[in-house]
Formats: sequence, structure tokens, C-alpha cells
Amino acid sequence: MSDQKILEFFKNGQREKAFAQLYQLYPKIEKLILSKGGRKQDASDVFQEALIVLYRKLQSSNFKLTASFYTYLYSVSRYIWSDTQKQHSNPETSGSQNELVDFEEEISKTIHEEKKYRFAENAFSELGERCQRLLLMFYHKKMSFKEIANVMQFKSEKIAKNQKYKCLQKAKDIFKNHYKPVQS
Amino acid sequence: METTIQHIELINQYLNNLLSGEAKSNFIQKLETDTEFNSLYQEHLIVVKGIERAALKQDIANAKQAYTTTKWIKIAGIGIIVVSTIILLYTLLNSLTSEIEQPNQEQNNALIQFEKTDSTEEKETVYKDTLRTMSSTQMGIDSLVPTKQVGSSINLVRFKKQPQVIRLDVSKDTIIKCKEGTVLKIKANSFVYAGSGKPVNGTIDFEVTEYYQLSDILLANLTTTSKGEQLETGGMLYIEARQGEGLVELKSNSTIDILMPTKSKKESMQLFSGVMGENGIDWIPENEELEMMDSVEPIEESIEVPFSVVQQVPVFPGCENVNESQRRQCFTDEMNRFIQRNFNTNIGIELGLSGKLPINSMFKINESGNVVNIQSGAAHPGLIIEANRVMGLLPKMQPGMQRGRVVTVPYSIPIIFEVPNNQTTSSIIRANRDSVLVTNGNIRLNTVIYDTIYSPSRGLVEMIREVMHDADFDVNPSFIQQWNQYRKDNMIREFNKSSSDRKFLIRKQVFESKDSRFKILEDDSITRGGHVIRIPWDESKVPTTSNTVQLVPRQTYYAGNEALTEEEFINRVEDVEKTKNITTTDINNYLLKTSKLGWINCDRFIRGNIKRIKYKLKIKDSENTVVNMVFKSVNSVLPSWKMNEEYDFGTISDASEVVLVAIKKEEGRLFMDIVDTKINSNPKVDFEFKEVTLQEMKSKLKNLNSLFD
Repeated sequence: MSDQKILEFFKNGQREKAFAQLYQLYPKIEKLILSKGGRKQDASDVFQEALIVLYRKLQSSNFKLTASFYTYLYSVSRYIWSDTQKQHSNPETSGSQNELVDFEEEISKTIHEEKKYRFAENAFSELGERCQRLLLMFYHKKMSFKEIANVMQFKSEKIAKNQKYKCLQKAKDIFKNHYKPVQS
Repeated sequence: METTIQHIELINQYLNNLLSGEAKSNFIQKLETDTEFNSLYQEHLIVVKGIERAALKQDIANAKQAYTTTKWIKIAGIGIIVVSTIILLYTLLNSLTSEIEQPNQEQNNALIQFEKTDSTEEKETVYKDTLRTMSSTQMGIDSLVPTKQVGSSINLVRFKKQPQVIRLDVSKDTIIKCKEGTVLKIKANSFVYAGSGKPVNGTIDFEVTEYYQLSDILLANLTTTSKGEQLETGGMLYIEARQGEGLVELKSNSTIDILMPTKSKKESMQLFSGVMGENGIDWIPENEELEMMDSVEPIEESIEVPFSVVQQVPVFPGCENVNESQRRQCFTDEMNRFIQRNFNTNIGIELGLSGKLPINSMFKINESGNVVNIQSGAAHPGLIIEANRVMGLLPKMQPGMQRGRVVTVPYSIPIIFEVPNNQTTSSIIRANRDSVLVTNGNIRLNTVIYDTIYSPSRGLVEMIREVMHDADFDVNPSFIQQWNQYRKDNMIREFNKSSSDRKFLIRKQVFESKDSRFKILEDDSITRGGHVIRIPWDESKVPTTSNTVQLVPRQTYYAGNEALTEEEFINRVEDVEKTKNITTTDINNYLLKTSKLGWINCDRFIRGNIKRIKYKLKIKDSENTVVNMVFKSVNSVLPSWKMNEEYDFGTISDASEVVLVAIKKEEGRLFMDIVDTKINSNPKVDFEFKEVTLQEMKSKLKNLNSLFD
């Protein structure tokens, strides 16, 4: 499967297919992480994170993939892994190392942002199942309130909208209460 | 809040690139100038990205799943090829010898199959309560055996009644119906070994001895006192449980529900546990208040299967010879014919009604085939009464069956009653079926009596409308049935019923079920589990429709299979001769919960402001004699203590009518006398002991049974 085909999948919104293709690269990444002293679970987490970073990058308009997916994912994974290792061993050195090249600088930024989003994700996962579904339909699947009202058995669009607002507000509250202090 | 919602909407539009050029630049400007808006934007962005993350992770997980699955399929595919090749080779090699072995193999297969079906059957029964009814031949007063205790101090004469022994599986809930009407409900896994406290597995032998009859009580030398104070009894039980030779007891916090039958319920009955001492039994009150059961409650949980789905529909008289597949149709046809024949069509004119008048009737055909729980709804109370009257005339049927078990079948029938405007004839039309004109049919029979309740409280229809936030919500019988089912299954629950904070919890399944008429409304709050908390409309928003008059069938009573009115029922209960037709479930029960086995008594203290006097009797020649006192007005037996030549009964209400029962045992021979007397301060009672056989003694004591109600 060529990178072009995978890009095509991403463009058409067939993310699952694209990811499934990219997973063929996983054994190599796993080998990398294992060689750096990580466990299988770490490898899986790192790869997941790398896929998210890749996806975010593809979403942003000014990004152009210059290398192959493999090269990109490999370097991102390596970076993520060394980042987590730094955090665990001696976090104060993270800023002092000046060997960051442009590429890594950029990735570092994305990863840092991603950490913030992870807190929001945790807040989201604390919501009830129905709220989660509702928010995913709106923000992820980009469904209209009309469609949502239909699927979720709401009487009207307006109710769907209000319920969405309530759910979102709940997620924000949880986010603010639990995760902001930890993060800052 | 409104502005925040608008802001968020704006942000969403911006993020989705839906804003026009001008609006977009306005938005960017607002971001730069309005810090509050900016922070809202930032926060929103984070949360939205977080949500996206969750979705991404899900996609990645799915992708991983797909990836690993394909990987494994590949591996498995290769594996299967390898294994099948090996098998193929093996079979080829063995093809010569296999012919001899084959029959043996087949047998094995059959055996395995048998075991399989067996185990599934077992699974099914685990969830069913086991109900055991004692066979009447197993015991009786006629099989009395003297116990080993005979021959100790004064309590020489004590005959232990043969207990009823039930072997039960402790892993199942068990209901035991004893011969004299006691019902014991034992929950699964409530036993531990005496001493070690370890849980009991397997089967145990549960022994119950019932002492309701005066003769049984006297023979066992049981009396009714608690620390010298007189009690009135509602029945005594002796319960013991053992596994093999070892005693087992109830584990802490476990209780057994005991229903004791009684013909006339008395207040302040409570549970006593007994301690058997040298001078007979002493009852100690357990500090558990007795729940009085107010209504007749069937003990077995009856199963209801609606008419439309029940495997074997109830058989309407006349449909017995109809092919089984045609019985459903036959039932409906007969039902139609019955209504047409019996509905008093003049009632429309009598009531001054006109036009098409829908009537809905619902009833259940219970496990005995009787029509019960008749309820009708119509715009005019007169129509309700008439519809109920007609349904009350329905004959007894053969009950419906589901999976080989007799079940209760609810049935609802919509009737359209048409009164033409010219008011000459009225007709009955069955909805959804062929309409038939009914001209006459005025039958009056008073089989079932109904109470008309003019109740200011609003009915179910109004409540449903309040909950649905729709004053015109079409509440039809099938919806009511569904509603009731939801209520029964706790899918819809009502909280804070009569307070201003009244609300309903509606589970999400209710909304998600097919063709659900429930919709989530704007003011609903949704719980984390996705269930909906609904604040019902205020009563003022839902006008009370005409159904303020409720017609309630009087509590139905059964004697055997015969439906009775309450009045008739009470008459029968009072008529002792006929009580044998009445099963325990018909009679009010004393409901007790015991956390102990052993001697159990449902009693109450007899305390009154009647003058009490000391009562002592001098009895000649009273070696080895036990004298007990039976009261004629209350169910009570008092023991006596022998001091020198005197028998002391303590203090007794003056002028009570009593029967003294003296039993003497000498060298294996029995002597007895029974004396009727009235309590006074200078008693003169002479016993003339006559020798009796055990049989004679028993029959004499049985004659006293009518003293106890």
C-alpha cells in the first residue's frame, strides 16, 4: 500500500482504513521502543500517540508531508519516547538540550499541546455514555442537530442543541476542576 | 447562558469554516479584543480537541483490532492448513483399522450430547423458585410419637408431633407450603453449619412441625406464656434444619419469611421464640414488629403473558374442539359474539348518549381460567359500568399456557359503541374487526360486584400526560400496558411522589426501544448512564378528563376455583364447615420474619384491665400429672406449677371460661380428665382420672380443637 493511497484514505475521511494500513508499520516501531528499554505496552502507547500527532499535522493546512509515513512515524515515535523518558528521569534537562532541529521543535510543540488535550479527553471520558455519544456526533462526525435529534430520540433540534450544550458544559466543568491545576 | 450558547455556536461555525469573510474577520477581531471571549475560545478549543482525541483513539483502536485480526487470521489460516494436512495423512493411514472403532466412537458422541441437554435444563431450573407442597399422607396427628424426654421431671407427657421433612437445595430460593397452611420462604444460600459458621452447600433436610390445633399443642405440652405472662397464640412452629446428622442454622442477617394462616386476624401479634425448659416452654418476644398483611397476596409469583404472544391461548368455552391453530381466532370470535349478545344496547339511550363511543376493556384470565382484574375506560361512567358488567359475565375458561406452564393472560378489547342520532337502535362495533349490529341483549346477572369510587385523585391517563408533557397525549390501552410494564420493570420510576420535587427517572432503553413514543424533552436532564430525569408537568397543565369516576372491581376472593365476593368470602370463612375449601393464600396471613430456627410462635400478650386473681388447684392423687388450662375466648394455653399438692396457675382474669386438661402417666399407662370450669377465687375442681389409650386421648383432645379459632 503506497503512502499516496493512505493519504487518499485520510482525505476521504476513511481514517480507520488509513490507520489500519499504518499499523503495518507497528512491528518496526515496536522493535525501536523495545530496543530503547520500553515494554510492549509502551510501544503501543507511543505508536498511538504518534498516529494522533500525524493526524493533527495532516489536518493543519500548512503541513506538507516531506518524508514517507514510515520515516515520519519513526522519528515522531522516537521523539515521544525520549520525551517521556526525560520526564521520568530528569525533567530539568528537557529545556537545556539544544540539539533540537526544526522538525523536532515543531513536533515537541504538537506533543506539548497534545498533553493538554489529553486532560480534556480524560474529562470527556468521565461523561456519561449518552453525553459522549452526543458530543462525538456533533464534533467528530459533524452531524447536524437534526440528524442527532433523530438518532438520539430527541423531540426537536433545539433540544439536541441544548443537550449538547449541557454535555459540553459538563465536560468543561470536569476539565476545569480536575485537570487544569495538574496541568499548569 | 444564552450568550454563551451563542458564542459557542459562533466558535463552532468558525472552526468548521462556515463563517463568511466578514463574519470571520469580525470573529478574529473579537478574539483579539474580548479577553473573556478569547479564553472561552481557547477552552472550547481544548475540549473539542480532547473530544476529537477520544474519537481518534477509538478509530486507532479499531484499526489495531482490524490489524491484529487479519494477522491472526493469516496465522490461523496457515495453522488450519497444517493441521488439516496432518489429519488427512493420519486418516489415510488409519483408514484400514478405523472401521472397527467407529461404533464405539458414535456411542461416545451420543453420551456427550445427552449430558449437554441435561446441563441446559438444569440451568433453567436454577432461576425458578422451587415450590413444594407436602403430600397430605405424609403426616398428621395420627402419627404421633412419644419423645425421648418423657420420663424426666414433671413433664412426663409430651408427644412430639411427626415433623414434615422437606429436602431442599440450599442454592435455590425455596417456598415450602406445609400441610396446615404455613408457608415458608427461604432464600438461596442462607444456611451455615452450626458451630463452624461455614456456608452450607448441597441439600439439607428441613423439618417443620406445625402446632395450630389445640390437640397438637396440648399433646406436645406446649403452653402460651412469656415469663409467666399469658399469651394468645396465632400458631406455633418448630423448625430444624440438618444436613445428614449435623445441624445447620441460618447465617446472620438471613431470615426466613413465615406466613401463618389465620382465620381472624388480630392486632399486635409478634414473633416469639421458644426455650424448652424443665417446666415446659417459655416464649421470649423477638424485637421484630409483625407486618400485618392488609390484602390477600398470592404467594407464588404469577407469570403474565399477553394474549397476542402466549403460546396456547385460553380456551373459550366452545373452542375446545377447535384445532389448536384456530383457537386464537375462535377466542376473538367468541369474545365478539359474547359482547354483542350481552351488552345492553339500550344503555346509550338511557344515558342520553349519541355518536361513536369508544370503550376499552382490559382483564386478565388467571391461572385458574377466571376472568379477573376487569378494568374499563370510557367517556361516560355508565358505559364503564356496563362494560365491566359484561366482562364480569365472561365464563370460566381453560387457562393459557406458556412453555407448558399455566400462566395469567392479560387481554384488552376495544369496543366501539355506536348510538345513532335517531335513537332507535344502538349497535356495538368491535374496533379493527367486522362491525356487527346488535339489537337487543339485556341480561342482568349479579356475579361480580364493583365499587364505584368517585375519586378526586387523577388517574393514570393524566399522570402519563403529565409525564409526557402533552395534554392531548393519546393514552390507549396498549400504551397503558406498556407503561405498566415499564413501571413494573423499574424502567420508569417515580420519585418524591407527593412533594413539589416530584420527578420521574426514565431509563434510556425506554427511549431507544422500537417505535418508542417517548422523546427526550428540552427540560430533561440526562444522567451519566444516559437515563432521563423528567419533571412532570404541573397538574394544572393537564386537565382532568372525564375518568374521574373509577370503577374498581371488589377485591376478588377465591375458594378453590370459585370466584367470590368479599362478603361471600367472609361468610364462608366464618362458616367453619366450608373453610376446607379455602386455601391458605385466600386467608389473611400473619407474616413473620425469623432469623432463628427452633421454636417459633406468633403470639400477642393478653393485657387488659380485667381483674386478675390467683388461681390454685388442689388435686388429689396427683403424682406424675400435668394440668394445663385452655381458654375458651382466646387462643391460649396456660401451664401450672406443682407446689406440694397444689397446682399454681399464677394470676388469671376473673370469670374466664376455661377447660382444664389433666393428663397423668403412671407405669406406662395414661389417665386423663377434662373439666369445664369458670375461674373464681375458690375453685373446687375434682378430676376423675380415667385410663385411656393413646388413641382415645388423642381423639378426646381433638374434640377440644373447636375452642381455638
